[in-house]
Amino acid sequence: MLNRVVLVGRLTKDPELRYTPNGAAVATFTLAVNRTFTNQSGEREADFINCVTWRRQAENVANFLKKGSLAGVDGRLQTRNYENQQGQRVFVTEVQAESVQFLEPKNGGGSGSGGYNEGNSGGGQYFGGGQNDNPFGGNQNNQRRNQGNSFNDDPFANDGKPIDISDDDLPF
Amino acid sequence: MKQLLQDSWWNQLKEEFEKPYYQELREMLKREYAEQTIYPDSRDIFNALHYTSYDDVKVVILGQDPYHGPGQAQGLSFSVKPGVKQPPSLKNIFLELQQDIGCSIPNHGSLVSWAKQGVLLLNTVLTVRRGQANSHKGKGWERLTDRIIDVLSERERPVIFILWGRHAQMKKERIDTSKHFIIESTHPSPFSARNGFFGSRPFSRANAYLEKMGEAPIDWCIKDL
Repeated sequence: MLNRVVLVGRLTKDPELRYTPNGAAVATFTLAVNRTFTNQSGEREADFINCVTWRRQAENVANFLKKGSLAGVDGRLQTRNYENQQGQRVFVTEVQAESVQFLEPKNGGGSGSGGYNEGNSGGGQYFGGGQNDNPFGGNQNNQRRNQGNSFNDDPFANDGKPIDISDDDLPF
Repeated sequence: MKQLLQDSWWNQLKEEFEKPYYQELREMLKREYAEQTIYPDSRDIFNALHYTSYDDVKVVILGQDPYHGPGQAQGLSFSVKPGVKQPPSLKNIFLELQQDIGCSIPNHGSLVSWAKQGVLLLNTVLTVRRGQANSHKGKGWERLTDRIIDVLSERERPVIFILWGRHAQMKKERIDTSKHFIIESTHPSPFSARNGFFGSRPFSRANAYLEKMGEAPIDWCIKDL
Protein backbone atom coordinates (compact mmCIF):
# COMPACT_ATOMS: atom_id res chain seq x y z
CA MET A 1 0.00 0.00 0.00
CA LEU A 2 1.03 3.57 -0.53
CA ASN A 3 -0.01 6.62 1.43
CA ARG A 4 2.24 9.60 1.04
CA VAL A 5 1.53 13.32 0.99
CA VAL A 6 3.99 16.09 0.23
CA LEU A 7 2.81 19.71 0.43
CA VAL A 8 4.27 23.16 0.30
CA GLY A 9 1.93 26.01 1.16
CA ARG A 10 1.14 28.85 3.49
CA LEU A 11 -0.72 28.70 6.81
CA THR A 12 -4.21 30.18 6.60
CA LYS A 13 -4.13 31.11 10.28
CA ASP A 14 -2.00 30.65 13.36
CA PRO A 15 -1.59 26.98 14.29
CA GLU A 16 -3.68 25.74 17.21
CA LEU A 17 -1.83 23.90 19.96
CA ARG A 18 -3.68 21.69 22.38
CA TYR A 19 -2.79 18.96 24.80
CA THR A 20 -4.40 15.58 25.19
CA PRO A 21 -5.44 14.65 28.73
CA ASN A 22 -2.21 12.68 28.91
CA GLY A 23 -0.16 15.72 28.11
CA ALA A 24 0.77 15.00 24.48
CA ALA A 25 0.93 18.17 22.38
CA VAL A 26 -1.15 18.29 19.17
CA ALA A 27 -0.98 21.13 16.68
CA THR A 28 -3.50 21.60 13.89
CA PHE A 29 -3.09 23.97 11.00
CA THR A 30 -4.38 24.49 7.48
CA LEU A 31 -2.10 24.92 4.49
CA ALA A 32 -3.21 26.88 1.45
CA VAL A 33 -1.54 25.20 -1.50
CA ASN A 34 -1.72 26.92 -4.86
CA ARG A 35 -2.79 24.78 -7.78
CA THR A 36 -0.25 24.52 -10.57
CA PHE A 37 -2.79 25.59 -13.19
CA THR A 38 -5.29 28.42 -13.59
CA ASN A 39 -9.04 28.02 -14.02
CA GLN A 40 -11.07 29.08 -17.05
CA SER A 41 -11.16 32.69 -15.99
CA GLY A 42 -7.42 32.68 -15.53
CA GLU A 43 -7.38 32.65 -11.73
CA ARG A 44 -5.11 30.44 -9.77
CA GLU A 45 -7.10 28.61 -7.13
CA ALA A 46 -5.76 27.05 -3.96
CA ASP A 47 -6.59 23.97 -1.94
CA PHE A 48 -6.93 24.29 1.82
CA ILE A 49 -5.61 21.21 3.48
CA ASN A 50 -5.93 20.39 7.16
CA CYS A 51 -2.81 19.03 8.83
CA VAL A 52 -2.12 17.58 12.26
CA THR A 53 1.17 17.07 14.00
CA TRP A 54 2.09 15.72 17.40
CA ARG A 55 4.44 16.12 20.35
CA ARG A 56 7.69 18.04 19.93
CA GLN A 57 6.93 18.81 16.32
CA ALA A 58 3.56 20.25 17.39
CA GLU A 59 5.19 22.58 19.88
CA ASN A 60 7.73 23.69 17.30
CA VAL A 61 4.97 24.35 14.78
CA ALA A 62 3.06 26.41 17.33
CA ASN A 63 6.18 28.33 18.28
CA PHE A 64 7.65 29.06 14.91
CA LEU A 65 4.83 29.17 12.38
CA LYS A 66 2.08 31.76 12.14
CA LYS A 67 -0.56 32.83 9.70
CA GLY A 68 1.06 33.26 6.30
CA SER A 69 4.20 31.23 7.07
CA LEU A 70 5.51 29.09 4.23
CA ALA A 71 5.84 25.48 5.32
CA GLY A 72 6.56 22.10 3.80
CA VAL A 73 4.84 18.98 5.07
CA ASP A 74 5.73 15.35 4.53
CA GLY A 75 3.21 12.89 5.88
CA ARG A 76 0.28 10.67 5.15
CA LEU A 77 -3.47 10.96 4.80
CA GLN A 78 -5.56 9.73 7.66
CA THR A 79 -9.31 9.45 8.11
CA ARG A 80 -11.40 9.45 11.25
CA ASN A 81 -15.02 9.99 12.09
CA TYR A 82 -17.04 11.10 15.06
CA GLU A 83 -20.62 11.84 15.98
CA ASN A 84 -21.41 15.54 16.23
CA GLN A 85 -23.79 17.12 18.70
CA GLN A 86 -26.69 16.64 16.29
CA GLY A 87 -25.94 12.92 16.24
CA GLN A 88 -24.65 12.90 12.67
CA ARG A 89 -21.49 11.04 11.79
CA VAL A 90 -18.85 13.37 10.44
CA PHE A 91 -15.98 12.05 8.33
CA VAL A 92 -12.68 13.84 8.37
CA THR A 93 -9.67 13.36 6.13
CA GLU A 94 -6.51 15.13 7.17
CA VAL A 95 -2.78 14.97 6.74
CA GLN A 96 -0.77 13.54 9.58
CA ALA A 97 2.38 15.57 9.17
CA GLU A 98 5.36 13.42 10.07
CA SER A 99 7.81 16.13 9.21
CA VAL A 100 7.24 19.87 8.94
CA GLN A 101 9.87 22.12 7.38
CA PHE A 102 9.82 25.80 8.16
CA LEU A 103 10.69 27.38 4.82
CA GLU A 104 11.09 30.99 5.83
CA PRO A 105 13.20 32.84 8.31
CA LYS A 106 11.24 33.72 11.39
CA ASN A 107 11.13 37.41 10.59
CA GLY A 108 9.59 36.79 7.21
CA GLY A 109 12.56 37.01 4.83
CA GLY A 110 15.15 39.70 4.45
CA SER A 111 17.39 40.11 7.42
CA GLY A 112 17.27 36.42 8.26
CA SER A 113 18.71 36.45 11.72
CA GLY A 114 20.33 33.38 13.10
CA GLY A 115 21.22 30.32 11.18
CA TYR A 116 19.44 27.25 10.08
CA ASN A 117 19.01 25.10 13.16
CA GLU A 118 18.14 21.50 13.32
CA GLY A 119 15.50 20.84 15.98
CA ASN A 120 17.52 18.67 18.29
CA SER A 121 14.96 16.20 19.48
CA GLY A 122 12.88 14.92 16.70
CA GLY A 123 11.46 18.25 15.77
CA GLY A 124 11.52 19.97 12.44
CA GLN A 125 14.03 22.46 11.24
CA TYR A 126 13.63 26.10 11.85
CA PHE A 127 15.36 29.36 11.31
CA GLY A 128 16.52 31.62 14.06
CA GLY A 129 14.62 31.03 17.20
CA GLY A 130 16.42 33.88 18.82
CA GLN A 131 14.83 36.80 20.47
CA ASN A 132 11.24 37.57 20.04
CA ASP A 133 9.88 40.52 18.22
CA ASN A 134 6.35 39.42 17.97
CA PRO A 135 4.22 42.34 16.89
CA PHE A 136 0.89 40.62 16.42
CA GLY A 137 -2.19 41.20 18.56
CA GLY A 138 -2.74 39.67 21.94
CA ASN A 139 -4.14 36.28 21.26
CA GLN A 140 -2.97 33.12 22.87
CA ASN A 141 -0.94 31.81 20.00
CA ASN A 142 1.23 34.84 20.08
CA GLN A 143 1.71 34.61 23.75
CA ARG A 144 2.72 31.05 23.39
CA ARG A 145 5.26 32.10 20.84
CA ASN A 146 6.54 34.78 23.15
CA GLN A 147 7.71 32.19 25.56
CA GLY A 148 8.52 29.31 23.35
CA ASN A 149 12.17 30.02 22.91
CA SER A 150 13.21 28.25 26.01
CA PHE A 151 11.85 24.82 25.24
CA ASN A 152 15.32 23.40 24.83
CA ASP A 153 17.01 24.68 27.92
CA ASP A 154 15.94 24.31 31.49
CA PRO A 155 13.48 27.13 32.01
CA PHE A 156 13.86 26.84 35.75
CA ALA A 157 17.61 27.20 35.84
CA ASN A 158 18.56 29.71 38.46
CA ASP A 159 21.25 32.17 37.58
CA GLY A 160 22.26 32.21 41.22
CA LYS A 161 20.79 35.58 42.09
CA PRO A 162 18.32 35.56 44.96
CA ILE A 163 14.96 37.09 44.12
CA ASP A 164 14.27 40.04 46.30
CA ILE A 165 10.62 39.95 47.27
CA SER A 166 9.20 40.63 50.69
CA ASP A 167 8.22 37.25 52.04
CA ASP A 168 5.49 38.53 54.28
CA ASP A 169 3.05 39.43 51.55
CA LEU A 170 3.29 36.28 49.50
CA PRO A 171 0.09 34.27 49.32
CA PHE A 172 1.97 30.99 48.77
CA MET B 1 5.21 30.77 59.34
CA LYS B 2 2.25 32.71 58.01
CA GLN B 3 -1.03 30.85 57.83
CA LEU B 4 -1.91 30.49 54.17
CA LEU B 5 -5.17 28.56 54.41
CA GLN B 6 -8.34 28.61 56.43
CA ASP B 7 -8.09 26.81 59.78
CA SER B 8 -9.67 23.52 58.70
CA TRP B 9 -7.08 22.97 55.96
CA TRP B 10 -4.22 24.60 57.84
CA ASN B 11 -4.61 22.12 60.69
CA GLN B 12 -4.36 19.27 58.20
CA LEU B 13 -1.58 20.59 56.01
CA LYS B 14 0.56 22.94 58.10
CA GLU B 15 3.53 20.58 58.28
CA GLU B 16 3.66 20.23 54.50
CA PHE B 17 4.35 23.92 54.09
CA GLU B 18 7.38 23.63 56.35
CA LYS B 19 8.98 20.77 54.44
CA PRO B 20 12.04 21.37 52.26
CA TYR B 21 10.19 20.47 49.05
CA TYR B 22 7.62 23.18 49.61
CA GLN B 23 10.32 25.70 50.48
CA GLU B 24 12.01 24.86 47.18
CA LEU B 25 8.74 25.12 45.31
CA ARG B 26 8.14 28.43 46.97
CA GLU B 27 11.51 29.79 45.91
CA MET B 28 10.79 28.70 42.35
CA LEU B 29 7.39 30.41 42.47
CA LYS B 30 8.89 33.64 43.74
CA ARG B 31 11.23 33.61 40.78
CA GLU B 32 8.54 32.60 38.33
CA TYR B 33 6.00 35.18 39.46
CA ALA B 34 8.69 37.86 39.34
CA GLU B 35 10.02 37.01 35.90
CA GLN B 36 7.24 35.30 33.96
CA THR B 37 3.51 35.43 33.51
CA ILE B 38 2.13 32.75 35.78
CA TYR B 39 -1.48 31.64 36.18
CA PRO B 40 -3.58 31.85 38.20
CA ASP B 41 -3.00 35.10 40.05
CA SER B 42 -0.85 34.26 43.08
CA ARG B 43 -3.74 35.10 45.42
CA ASP B 44 -5.93 32.53 43.66
CA ILE B 45 -3.56 29.54 43.84
CA PHE B 46 -5.35 27.93 46.79
CA ASN B 47 -8.87 29.00 45.86
CA ALA B 48 -10.12 25.41 45.86
CA LEU B 49 -9.17 25.19 49.54
CA HIS B 50 -10.50 28.68 50.30
CA TYR B 51 -13.93 27.98 48.88
CA THR B 52 -14.35 24.49 50.30
CA SER B 53 -13.29 23.75 53.86
CA TYR B 54 -11.89 20.37 54.84
CA ASP B 55 -15.00 19.43 56.78
CA ASP B 56 -17.36 20.58 54.03
CA VAL B 57 -15.85 18.50 51.22
CA LYS B 58 -18.46 16.16 49.80
CA VAL B 59 -17.14 15.62 46.28
CA VAL B 60 -13.66 15.99 44.79
CA ILE B 61 -13.18 16.64 41.07
CA LEU B 62 -9.51 16.23 40.20
CA GLY B 63 -7.97 18.20 37.39
CA GLN B 64 -4.47 18.39 35.99
CA ASP B 65 -2.98 21.88 35.85
CA PRO B 66 -4.51 25.36 35.55
CA TYR B 67 -5.62 26.84 32.25
CA HIS B 68 -2.66 28.60 30.69
CA GLY B 69 -4.44 31.33 28.71
CA PRO B 70 -4.85 34.90 29.92
CA GLY B 71 -7.74 35.46 32.31
CA GLN B 72 -8.90 31.83 32.39
CA ALA B 73 -7.63 30.18 35.56
CA GLN B 74 -9.29 30.99 38.86
CA GLY B 75 -7.71 28.38 41.10
CA LEU B 76 -10.46 25.80 40.65
CA SER B 77 -10.09 22.78 38.37
CA PHE B 78 -12.02 23.02 35.07
CA SER B 79 -13.51 26.39 36.07
CA VAL B 80 -12.83 29.65 34.22
CA LYS B 81 -13.51 33.20 35.30
CA PRO B 82 -16.80 34.68 34.11
CA GLY B 83 -16.45 36.44 30.79
CA VAL B 84 -13.92 33.92 29.46
CA LYS B 85 -14.97 31.50 26.73
CA GLN B 86 -15.79 28.04 28.03
CA PRO B 87 -12.87 25.72 27.17
CA PRO B 88 -13.74 22.51 25.28
CA SER B 89 -13.58 20.16 28.30
CA LEU B 90 -15.84 22.43 30.31
CA LYS B 91 -18.32 22.63 27.43
CA ASN B 92 -18.47 18.85 27.45
CA ILE B 93 -18.96 18.84 31.22
CA PHE B 94 -21.96 21.14 30.77
CA LEU B 95 -23.33 18.96 27.96
CA GLU B 96 -23.13 15.90 30.19
CA LEU B 97 -24.71 17.89 33.02
CA GLN B 98 -27.58 18.77 30.70
CA GLN B 99 -28.06 15.15 29.67
CA ASP B 100 -27.65 13.84 33.18
CA ILE B 101 -29.68 16.24 35.30
CA GLY B 102 -31.32 18.55 32.77
CA CYS B 103 -29.47 21.69 33.79
CA SER B 104 -29.41 24.38 31.14
CA ILE B 105 -25.97 25.33 29.91
CA PRO B 106 -24.78 28.45 31.75
CA ASN B 107 -23.61 31.57 29.93
CA HIS B 108 -20.25 31.49 31.74
CA GLY B 109 -17.75 28.89 32.91
CA SER B 110 -17.29 29.56 36.59
CA LEU B 111 -17.85 26.61 38.92
CA VAL B 112 -17.70 28.64 42.14
CA SER B 113 -21.25 27.60 43.04
CA TRP B 114 -20.12 23.96 43.09
CA ALA B 115 -17.09 24.84 45.22
CA LYS B 116 -19.27 26.62 47.76
CA GLN B 117 -21.49 23.57 48.10
CA GLY B 118 -18.66 21.22 48.97
CA VAL B 119 -17.20 20.24 45.61
CA LEU B 120 -13.42 20.47 45.95
CA LEU B 121 -12.18 21.45 42.49
CA LEU B 122 -8.57 20.44 42.91
CA ASN B 123 -5.84 20.48 40.29
CA THR B 124 -2.81 18.28 40.96
CA VAL B 125 -0.50 21.11 39.86
CA LEU B 126 -1.57 24.54 41.05
CA THR B 127 0.34 26.96 38.81
CA VAL B 128 1.37 27.17 35.17
CA ARG B 129 3.33 29.47 32.89
CA ARG B 130 1.35 31.38 30.36
CA GLY B 131 0.91 29.34 27.20
CA GLN B 132 2.85 26.33 28.47
CA ALA B 133 0.66 23.51 29.71
CA ASN B 134 2.28 21.35 32.38
CA SER B 135 5.17 23.78 32.75
CA HIS B 136 5.10 23.55 36.56
CA LYS B 137 4.68 19.80 36.62
CA GLY B 138 7.15 17.91 38.80
CA LYS B 139 8.13 20.97 40.83
CA GLY B 140 6.56 19.88 44.12
CA TRP B 141 2.86 20.67 43.78
CA GLU B 142 2.07 17.00 43.34
CA ARG B 143 3.38 16.22 46.82
CA LEU B 144 1.14 18.84 48.36
CA THR B 145 -1.94 17.82 46.41
CA ASP B 146 -1.27 14.13 47.10
CA ARG B 147 -1.24 15.04 50.77
CA ILE B 148 -4.59 16.79 50.32
CA ILE B 149 -6.01 13.61 48.86
CA ASP B 150 -4.46 11.61 51.71
CA VAL B 151 -6.00 13.73 54.45
CA LEU B 152 -9.38 13.46 52.74
CA SER B 153 -8.95 9.73 52.46
CA GLU B 154 -8.18 9.62 56.20
CA ARG B 155 -11.45 11.40 56.96
CA GLU B 156 -14.17 9.20 58.46
CA ARG B 157 -17.09 10.82 56.65
CA PRO B 158 -17.02 9.52 53.08
CA VAL B 159 -15.90 11.63 50.13
CA ILE B 160 -16.96 11.06 46.53
CA PHE B 161 -13.99 11.24 44.18
CA ILE B 162 -14.77 11.99 40.55
CA LEU B 163 -11.79 10.87 38.49
CA TRP B 164 -11.81 11.82 34.83
CA GLY B 165 -9.04 10.38 32.71
CA ARG B 166 -6.00 8.29 33.41
CA HIS B 167 -4.13 11.13 35.04
CA ALA B 168 -6.75 11.50 37.77
CA GLN B 169 -7.32 7.76 38.07
CA MET B 170 -3.68 7.28 38.99
CA LYS B 171 -4.61 8.83 42.34
CA LYS B 172 -7.01 5.99 43.08
CA GLU B 173 -4.32 4.07 44.94
CA ARG B 174 -4.19 6.83 47.53
CA ILE B 175 -7.90 6.59 48.28
CA ASP B 176 -9.34 4.21 50.85
CA THR B 177 -12.13 2.74 48.74
CA SER B 178 -13.61 0.86 51.67
CA LYS B 179 -14.71 4.23 53.05
CA HIS B 180 -15.00 6.49 50.04
CA PHE B 181 -16.77 6.41 46.69
CA ILE B 182 -15.13 6.66 43.28
CA ILE B 183 -16.84 7.68 40.08
CA GLU B 184 -14.63 7.35 37.05
CA SER B 185 -14.80 7.73 33.30
CA THR B 186 -12.65 9.05 30.47
CA HIS B 187 -11.71 12.71 30.50
CA PRO B 188 -14.27 15.26 29.22
CA SER B 189 -11.71 16.54 26.69
CA PRO B 190 -12.96 16.38 23.08
CA PHE B 191 -10.21 13.82 22.52
CA SER B 192 -11.90 11.29 24.77
CA ALA B 193 -15.35 12.48 25.86
CA ARG B 194 -17.10 10.18 23.41
CA ASN B 195 -15.27 7.12 24.72
CA GLY B 196 -17.00 6.99 28.07
CA PHE B 197 -17.42 10.45 29.55
CA PHE B 198 -20.69 11.19 27.79
CA GLY B 199 -23.37 9.10 29.38
CA SER B 200 -21.38 8.45 32.56
CA ARG B 201 -23.82 10.58 34.60
CA PRO B 202 -21.33 11.54 37.31
CA PHE B 203 -23.55 14.26 38.75
CA SER B 204 -26.62 12.21 39.48
CA ARG B 205 -24.45 9.33 40.70
CA ALA B 206 -22.68 11.62 43.15
CA ASN B 207 -26.03 12.88 44.41
CA ALA B 208 -27.29 9.32 44.81
CA TYR B 209 -24.28 8.54 47.03
CA LEU B 210 -24.88 11.72 49.03
CA GLU B 211 -28.51 10.83 49.60
CA LYS B 212 -27.53 7.34 50.67
CA MET B 213 -25.19 8.95 53.21
CA GLY B 214 -28.01 11.20 54.40
CA GLU B 215 -26.33 14.35 53.12
CA ALA B 216 -27.88 17.15 51.11
CA PRO B 217 -27.31 16.63 47.38
CA ILE B 218 -25.35 19.14 45.32
CA ASP B 219 -27.35 21.56 43.19
CA TRP B 220 -25.21 21.08 40.09
CA CYS B 221 -27.17 23.52 37.92
CA ILE B 222 -25.26 26.76 37.49
CA LYS B 223 -27.10 30.07 37.28
CA ASP B 224 -26.49 32.44 34.41
CA LEU B 225 -24.67 35.64 35.25
